[in-house]
Amino acid sequence: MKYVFSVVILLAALSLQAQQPPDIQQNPIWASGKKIDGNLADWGAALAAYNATNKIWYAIANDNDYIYLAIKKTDNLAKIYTPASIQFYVSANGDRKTEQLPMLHFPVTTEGIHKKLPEKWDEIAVRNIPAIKDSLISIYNQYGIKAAWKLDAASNVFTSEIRIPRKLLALNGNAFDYNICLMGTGRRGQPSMFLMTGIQLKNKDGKALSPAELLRLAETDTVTEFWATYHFANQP
Amino acid sequence: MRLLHLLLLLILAGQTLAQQPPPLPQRQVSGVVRDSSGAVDIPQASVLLITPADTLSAVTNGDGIFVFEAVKSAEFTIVVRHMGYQPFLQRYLMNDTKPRLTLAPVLLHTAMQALSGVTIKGKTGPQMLGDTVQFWADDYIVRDYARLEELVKKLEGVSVDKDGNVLFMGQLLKKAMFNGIRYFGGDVKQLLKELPANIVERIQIIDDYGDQANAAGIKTGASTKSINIVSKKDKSVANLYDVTAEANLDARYNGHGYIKHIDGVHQLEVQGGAEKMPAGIIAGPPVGTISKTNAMQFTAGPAAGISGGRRQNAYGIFTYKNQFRQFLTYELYYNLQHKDNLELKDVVQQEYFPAGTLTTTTHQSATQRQTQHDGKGIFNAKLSANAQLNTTIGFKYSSDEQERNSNAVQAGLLQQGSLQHGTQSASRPELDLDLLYIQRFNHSKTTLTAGLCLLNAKDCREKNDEGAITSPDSSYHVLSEVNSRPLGYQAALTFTHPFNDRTTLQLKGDWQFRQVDYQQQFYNKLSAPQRVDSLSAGFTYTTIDNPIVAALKQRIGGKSILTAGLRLQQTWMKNLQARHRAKLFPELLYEYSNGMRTQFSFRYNGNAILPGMEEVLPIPDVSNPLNTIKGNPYLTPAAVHQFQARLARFLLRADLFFSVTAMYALTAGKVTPDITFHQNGSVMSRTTGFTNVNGDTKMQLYYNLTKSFTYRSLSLKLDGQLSRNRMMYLSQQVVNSTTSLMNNNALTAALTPWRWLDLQAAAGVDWSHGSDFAALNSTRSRFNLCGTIYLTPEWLIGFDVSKKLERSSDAALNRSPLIVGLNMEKRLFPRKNGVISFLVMDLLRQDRAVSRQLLFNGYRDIPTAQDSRFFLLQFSWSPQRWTGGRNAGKARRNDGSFVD
Repeated sequence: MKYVFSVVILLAALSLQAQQPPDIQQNPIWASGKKIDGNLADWGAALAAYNATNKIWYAIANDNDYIYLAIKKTDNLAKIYTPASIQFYVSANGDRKTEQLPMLHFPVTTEGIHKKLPEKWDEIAVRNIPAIKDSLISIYNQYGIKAAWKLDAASNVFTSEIRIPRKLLALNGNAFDYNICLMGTGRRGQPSMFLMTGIQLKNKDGKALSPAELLRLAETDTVTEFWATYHFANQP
Repeated sequence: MRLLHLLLLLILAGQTLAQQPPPLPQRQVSGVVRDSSGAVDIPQASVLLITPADTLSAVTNGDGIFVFEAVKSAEFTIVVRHMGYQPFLQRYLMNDTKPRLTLAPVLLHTAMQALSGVTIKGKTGPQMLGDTVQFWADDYIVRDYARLEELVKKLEGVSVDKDGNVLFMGQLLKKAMFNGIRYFGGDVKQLLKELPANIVERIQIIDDYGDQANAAGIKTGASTKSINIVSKKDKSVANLYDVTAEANLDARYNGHGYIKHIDGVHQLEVQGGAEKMPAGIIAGPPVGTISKTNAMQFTAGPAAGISGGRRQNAYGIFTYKNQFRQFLTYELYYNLQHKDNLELKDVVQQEYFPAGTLTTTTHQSATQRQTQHDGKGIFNAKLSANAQLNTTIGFKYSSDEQERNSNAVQAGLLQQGSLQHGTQSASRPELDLDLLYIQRFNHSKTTLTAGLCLLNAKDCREKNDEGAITSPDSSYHVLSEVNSRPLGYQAALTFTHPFNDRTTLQLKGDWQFRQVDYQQQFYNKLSAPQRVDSLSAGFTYTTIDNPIVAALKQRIGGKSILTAGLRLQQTWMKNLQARHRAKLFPELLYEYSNGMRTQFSFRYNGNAILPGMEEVLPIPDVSNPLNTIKGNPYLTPAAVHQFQARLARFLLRADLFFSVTAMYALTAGKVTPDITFHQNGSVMSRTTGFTNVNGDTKMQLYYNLTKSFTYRSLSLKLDGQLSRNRMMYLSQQVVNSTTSLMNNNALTAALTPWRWLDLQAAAGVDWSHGSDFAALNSTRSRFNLCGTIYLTPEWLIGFDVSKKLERSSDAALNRSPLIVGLNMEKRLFPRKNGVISFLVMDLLRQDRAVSRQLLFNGYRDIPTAQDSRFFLLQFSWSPQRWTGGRNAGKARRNDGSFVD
């Protein structure tokens, strides 16, 4: 009886483990009929991975012409509202120096120092893509880049999709490396000011911030990112 | 304290305003087109972005996205169209400091199906965009296999005259373009008859001020109308073929064909044809597909002014246009025409002079053999992003032989008869060279153009005339040999400089040099060939015309443009003496456009016109001793003052279009005939000279009203013209005037009462009234019913029935014929691009008329041929292949041309 009970526990534990999403997407996805509208229903019941570093669900898919990225965030949406928002780096040759790599940043939530209302998130920031001379392009552009997002403030859910032509990024091989980075208000290599000792911060009511509030602010103020490799899916 | 707060607020507001960034000179505008649910992107939708300065067009890509670069204004209108959806039109006032403007998704709503009694509200209607009026082909319904002419006739403001010429708001369409590039030779009739209606996206009617003025953006002087066809993007490249033949058993035949290829600037054309037909028969309106698509001018030759004879003509045309790399476009053109015509005329001419009336009855026959070669090479080189050089080299050579016989009897002021016989042979080689240089300066936005034109021709004519005055008896036989060498140079310079977005300086200068060196040798051959020294002489006539215009163009608000300035026109004339004149005219043009539906313009033009060679030539032309013509070398230039106002408006909800054009012209010092009668023994003769007279005026009013209904595709058109002309002339050195009033009105209704029947009914009234000569008064009414019965999709019957009632103070002109034309035809071949037809024109043999040509002091009547009925068997095969070529992924300008 004890033996059986142990096996049951073990099986349950294994099953639970199997149901936990991976931190990094393991399998490629062929993007048949993916519609870029911010609605992730056509990606399935859940996205391919939950990245604990960035605290985002994400999935990458491809077809012969495009790569697709879907992101869902349900925790600390304040990190979306920062000027740097979500950055997606792509490396076709294994180089991981972000300063030189093609990068797309969407949505662009600020104009200069001023925050834009979500209805005005109509631009994509672009860097190091030879065919695009401007650093900012419209979400309706002639390069074939398509992006859409949805923000449900009530249920605290942000979803976004972006589609990028493979030829823009020179992705001609079988795989590519990618980096998803949430800069927040922080800087790479620097700890958050909210983690420094000796600073006493107060909320709008004049009371000292609680440890939970400090942690949240620190998380927003800390750059989080991860690198991974995506192997292109073949057309079924 | 309050005062202090107010002061602080004012200072703050001032600082805020001072800190506002200036508006950007241009920005990107982008958006997406979706269906009404907002979930489905719509690709291939046509999008127009219209600003006060220009109009841009784009087509949405596969994601329904459109992008416009370098938009000059943040205030614009967007028009979106796609088949199956209602058109979208919205005005935007955007932030002019932002470099990228992203529009909210454009949602198109499905167009409702048209059932009887239910209205389709999908029409965009005519759009007035500055110099261009634009129509959308989807707004009009035409039959399968219809040619472009059927579509153009349905456009608001368009009418077709009796010669088949197409007019817009009363002005003739003169130049044809396809996707922004001249359609082969630019012949409007060829364009309308060769292209199918189903390849058209938009039709643009454009005010054309000439290449140099268009490049500089200067709208001074007269303009002509051009038509530009913007095709659907996937129908921009074509191979066109045609073989047509018509014949009957009665010495009438016509055969022609062409091979054409068009792909942007790459055009190739080879065509030729020959015809033979009796002359003087009224052609009547075309009946049946082949007659309607026959662009040949020969077959539609005018019968007016000819009583009989024969026309025999042949022609060949070769055109090749292409582009070398991106910087040079070139065109080679050659046209050969050969005519061999015999014309018979029975003329009754009535002239009214203060001293009395002169009636001349003449029977004439004339043969003419003419061969004309016309070749041209056009080279347009883009020297840099801002500089262009256009070069045209042309040559013409024509040879002409004529022989005339006439038997004339005169009564009234002169009582005599005469027999005349004359021959003439002439040749004329001509060379001309045109250069146009265009330079733009980006920094200051200045444009400079310089043009040079050289003309060198040699006109050699030998005329041999002999005649006898039968009553009283007197004979003559004269030979004249004339050589004239016209030589011309023309240079033009334009300069435009915008001070800011609203004010532009325009300068334009022209210098035209013309010289004709005329040599005449005159022989009296009655007894023995004897040179008449007094009539054998040389004469050189030199003119220089030098108008200079300075004007300011000012935008007022967002809707009006005022161009005002001065025109100094200097003229030099040198023949027996040198004379210089300088005249100063104001220049004024006001244009108002309220969005795209209303347009108003008012214009004043002044111009000095130099007398022609024949008018100043002091060597008398006595080839007909009874009617000598002698010029006046002391003539001065005439000054013409012309005022024109035009209003056009389209009411979208009522689907009603109306336009009114009014024109008044006053000519001071017009060169006018001066007729004097002489009696020499028993022979009466007259001399025609020329002199400057004031008082010539011309007033014209043209109107058009078009109303469309969705019920049975009904459209109603009311066209009318009212004109009053006052012409001055001299007789026996006394100044006289004659005033004529003319009014033409036509009401046309076109409808499709059933799917198998197209009908068009028209009623018209024309009347003319001469204040001084009752013989000029006439009233004509006409009623016409024409249409097509579709027995099956392949078999059809065409008919045209007209009843004319012509009443005049002269009973000889009264007639009321019933004119019937019928045809039966069948479509051939699997692709239905062939037609065989049997045609009968004027079945009841009643379309015979007396053609009355008004003179300044009378009229000339010439009856047309009596045997007006004829039959024809017709065959035509016109395969065409239309594709998008390599233009699928290219951006497109508003005129339909593609950006590489």
